[in-house]
Amino acid sequence: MHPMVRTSVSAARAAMSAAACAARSSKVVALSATFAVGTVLGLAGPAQAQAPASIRLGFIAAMSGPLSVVGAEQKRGFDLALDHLGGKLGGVPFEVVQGDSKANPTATVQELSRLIDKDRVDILTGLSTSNELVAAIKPISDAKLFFVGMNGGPAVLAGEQCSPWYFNASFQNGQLTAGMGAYMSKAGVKKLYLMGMDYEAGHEHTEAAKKGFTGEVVAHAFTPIPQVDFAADIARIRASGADGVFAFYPGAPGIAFVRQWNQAGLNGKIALFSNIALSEPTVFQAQGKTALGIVVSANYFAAIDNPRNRRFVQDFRAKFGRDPASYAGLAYDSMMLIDAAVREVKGNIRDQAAFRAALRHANFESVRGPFRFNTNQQPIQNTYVTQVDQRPDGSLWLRQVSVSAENAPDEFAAKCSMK
Amino acid sequence: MTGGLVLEQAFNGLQFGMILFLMAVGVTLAFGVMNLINLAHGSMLMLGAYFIAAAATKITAYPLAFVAALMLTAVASVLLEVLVMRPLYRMGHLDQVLATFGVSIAVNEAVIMIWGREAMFVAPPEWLDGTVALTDTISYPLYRLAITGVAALAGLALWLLLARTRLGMRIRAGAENGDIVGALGVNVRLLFIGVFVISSLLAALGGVMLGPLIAVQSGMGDPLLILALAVVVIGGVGSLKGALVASLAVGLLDTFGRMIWPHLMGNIIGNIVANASVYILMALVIAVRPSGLFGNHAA
Amino acid sequence: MQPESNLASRRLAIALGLLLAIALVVPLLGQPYYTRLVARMAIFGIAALSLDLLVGYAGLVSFGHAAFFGIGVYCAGLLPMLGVQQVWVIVPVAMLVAGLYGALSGLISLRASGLYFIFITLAFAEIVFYIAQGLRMLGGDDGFRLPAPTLLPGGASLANPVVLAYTMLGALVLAVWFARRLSESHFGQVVVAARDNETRLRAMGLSAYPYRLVLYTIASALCALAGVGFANLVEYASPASMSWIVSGEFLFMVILGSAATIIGPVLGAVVFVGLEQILSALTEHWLFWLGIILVLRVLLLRQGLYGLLTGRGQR
Repeated sequence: MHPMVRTSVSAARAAMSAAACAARSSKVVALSATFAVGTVLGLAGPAQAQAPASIRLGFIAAMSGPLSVVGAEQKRGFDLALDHLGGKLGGVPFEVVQGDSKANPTATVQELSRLIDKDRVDILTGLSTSNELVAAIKPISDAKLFFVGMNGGPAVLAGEQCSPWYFNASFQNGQLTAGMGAYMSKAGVKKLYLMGMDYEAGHEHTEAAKKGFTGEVVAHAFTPIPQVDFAADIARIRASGADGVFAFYPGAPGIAFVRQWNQAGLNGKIALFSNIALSEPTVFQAQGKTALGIVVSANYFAAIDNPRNRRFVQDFRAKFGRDPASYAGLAYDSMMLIDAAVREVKGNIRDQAAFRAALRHANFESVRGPFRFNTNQQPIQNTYVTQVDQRPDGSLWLRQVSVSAENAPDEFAAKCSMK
Repeated sequence: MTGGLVLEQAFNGLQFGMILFLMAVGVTLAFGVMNLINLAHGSMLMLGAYFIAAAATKITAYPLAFVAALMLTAVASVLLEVLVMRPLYRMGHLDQVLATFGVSIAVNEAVIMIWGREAMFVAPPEWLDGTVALTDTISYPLYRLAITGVAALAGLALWLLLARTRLGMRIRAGAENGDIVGALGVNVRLLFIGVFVISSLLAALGGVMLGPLIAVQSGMGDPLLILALAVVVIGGVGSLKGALVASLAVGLLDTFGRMIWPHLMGNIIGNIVANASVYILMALVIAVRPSGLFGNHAA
Repeated sequence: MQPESNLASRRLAIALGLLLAIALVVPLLGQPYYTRLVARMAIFGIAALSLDLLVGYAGLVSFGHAAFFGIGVYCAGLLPMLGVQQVWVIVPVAMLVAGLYGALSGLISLRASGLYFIFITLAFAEIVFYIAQGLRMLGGDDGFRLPAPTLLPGGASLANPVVLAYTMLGALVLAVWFARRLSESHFGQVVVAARDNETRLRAMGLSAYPYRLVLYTIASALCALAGVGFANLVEYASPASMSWIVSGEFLFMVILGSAATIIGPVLGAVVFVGLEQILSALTEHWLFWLGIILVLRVLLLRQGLYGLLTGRGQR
């Protein structure tokens, strides 16, 4: 029912958008009054009946609540994309409606209803946590809107519950970590201690780290989500005789883990591995030098060398004073992906078959290098092994050690019914 | 499990228990003397950590930054007492729960508005950075020993204050029976401010000590507060002895439980039991003794 | 209940009539966002009302009421996996399971009082929370998508916001009627008497314990009804629906509206849901303002929204 109504009222809606922009002061970023006026004028032409004169883009992320660090960093990448796009998405004027998912899945559903039913967005992007995603994909698919995910997706959404409306432009959880098993073996680890936060992503990442590891796994342990004191776990690691640890801890627990690891004097004695969730620019300030030497896998980090990324990182540093974290890089990429797809259909995103095909082409220059979509609309991309290093001025950065997987898909595509 | 590991885990459980004690003793004092349920107590721990992080950027000498952080917390707690807490003392528990919950979420957001969303950095003082050998093979972080030591000292100081000073006598009288204090002709207003500040400082001390150990971030005190509340209920509201015993019991149960339960019951059930163990203990204690282990009056 | 002055009760009746009229008209406007908002308000209204039975009438401040809400959510999510979608199976099962857990935990909780009661109810809620979080086959902390919505007799689906809104509004009206009857019954009088003076009740040879246990069981079951509605609203189930923060929100709704008034907590739920929407649309620091409003409510607006409406706001 939705798209029908949407098409028939699109003209009236577009005409109203200028007024709506002015009214919704804080949340709607009216990119430029000129564009909005252009929208209204553009309606006069019959040629505009198919392609919308202006696109409403919904951006939803955890802007408040305990995981708002992630949402805030996504917003930085998103804002920089807005700067670089210069007010047009694929050559079409657009406006942004922002939503706050609060890192809470049920609040996410409510906020999505606002963006979809009330503000009538045409495309959606964002989301910060995997439980938000699990809750969000159903209402988005029901509304027949395309959603471009900016942060890691759980296995179930790459496999059985894959949706033609969901494009994951970041990474499938396990994919981010795949390749670390082989790398750890190569680095000489014989006895590996796996540990992670006790939720789906924690299980997926540590499972993925096990793959390709040829030595002995001495433990596969999980700690509850709110735990921030790891003394007891560190004692067990030491007692286990492990010579390598893979630990998945994003955010606050990650900061705590790295500091305590350091204080326990294990730096340099037992090798510490993880993926980029453990140590990246949003936590560098808090981890300080205790993070030096940690080896993490990543699909995006600031030092990736290509022209698009050089520009992104340079402008990001100028604007925010430090390296972008992967959340920002992937948010930026998501916008560039949408931009390319809108351009490919010449702004006619209402032709959903054509727009889906365009999104699947992913004909954009990613800041992370090669990027394309698999049949389940999850990325096929490189992952890298990086190490936390220090610049002469003392600031931390991620240095590339090696490429751990080239043009690699996730492992759940076969379970997805889309071909 | 080797003897060395058991020893090390006992140290860890003890240290965790002492941090809980710093929190719980403040909760139990405020309840005993002022009849106040304070859900904003976790925010005081957080403020302590933020204040030392902020102070450390201006003051290089750790002891000075330490003192500055505690003084800032004292100022904040006096303001809070006068503006919000004082009218609450006479209100019902429901009002107190809601108002202090409100204070807690407002303060949690205020630190974001001031210092941003990303976690702050606090370094431990250099002279505490290092490890000591517990056994031939096991070394233990010096800083963690210091936490246990400082918490124990704070507990001792509090005991001396309560047992040996006039102020302490009044506080104890208040904790046992709130009506007596007024009858003794004590300036109740000042006494209440004093108790509130002391209890806030104990929480902030926990925050200052935890700063270099965990992420200094909005809401960092709340999980600890919930555990501290469980400790108070288990130990018996208003009982300092109960707070100490229950803190150490919970600290050790949590630390050893995480090793033992999954071993005994398998990963899934074991993890559930380990996560919920404090609450299961609480339910068991209340089932047997409805006013906690050492509680002597219905709260 | 205290007798109200004519004017006050007329003002209240007008306000409530208006509110109900708006709630009934909104779903007809074809605006799913607002329809869902009405459904959300009705759902939380039922939850707050069920908590008011405990907090207001029995003086039992429960900090774990979200557990029963969550049990309702999980029942609505799990039963469709067994092929059961009918509302007349799902709602009774959810209420039965929640009532059973309420009765069993109440056996222990109700032995405690005051502060101990507040935190023992929290403990029992946290135990359920950690069980839900530990169930990896149900997505653990990520939760799971509802495999199918609840169906009304005749096949109408609660996933349809209009159907859901009217169903929950109907359920809310029924719940209000039921709660009023309950509070005015002999049973209700005993519960209130126990709240006000337990010693006297004991002198009359009555023990409050069995009465409280029955009430606690009823309130738990009623809250599960709201949970079933919520699961259909968000078409998703996760431990987040039973966290202690949700329990705190329920308490906030009750006291925002004024406890022991039945209607008050419903108003509290309406205002809370609206407030959250409005504040979070205005600023990303909405939690700060929500906290301030909570404090001001307690310190300044002593009789809650109900008092404001009936003119009993002055101390």
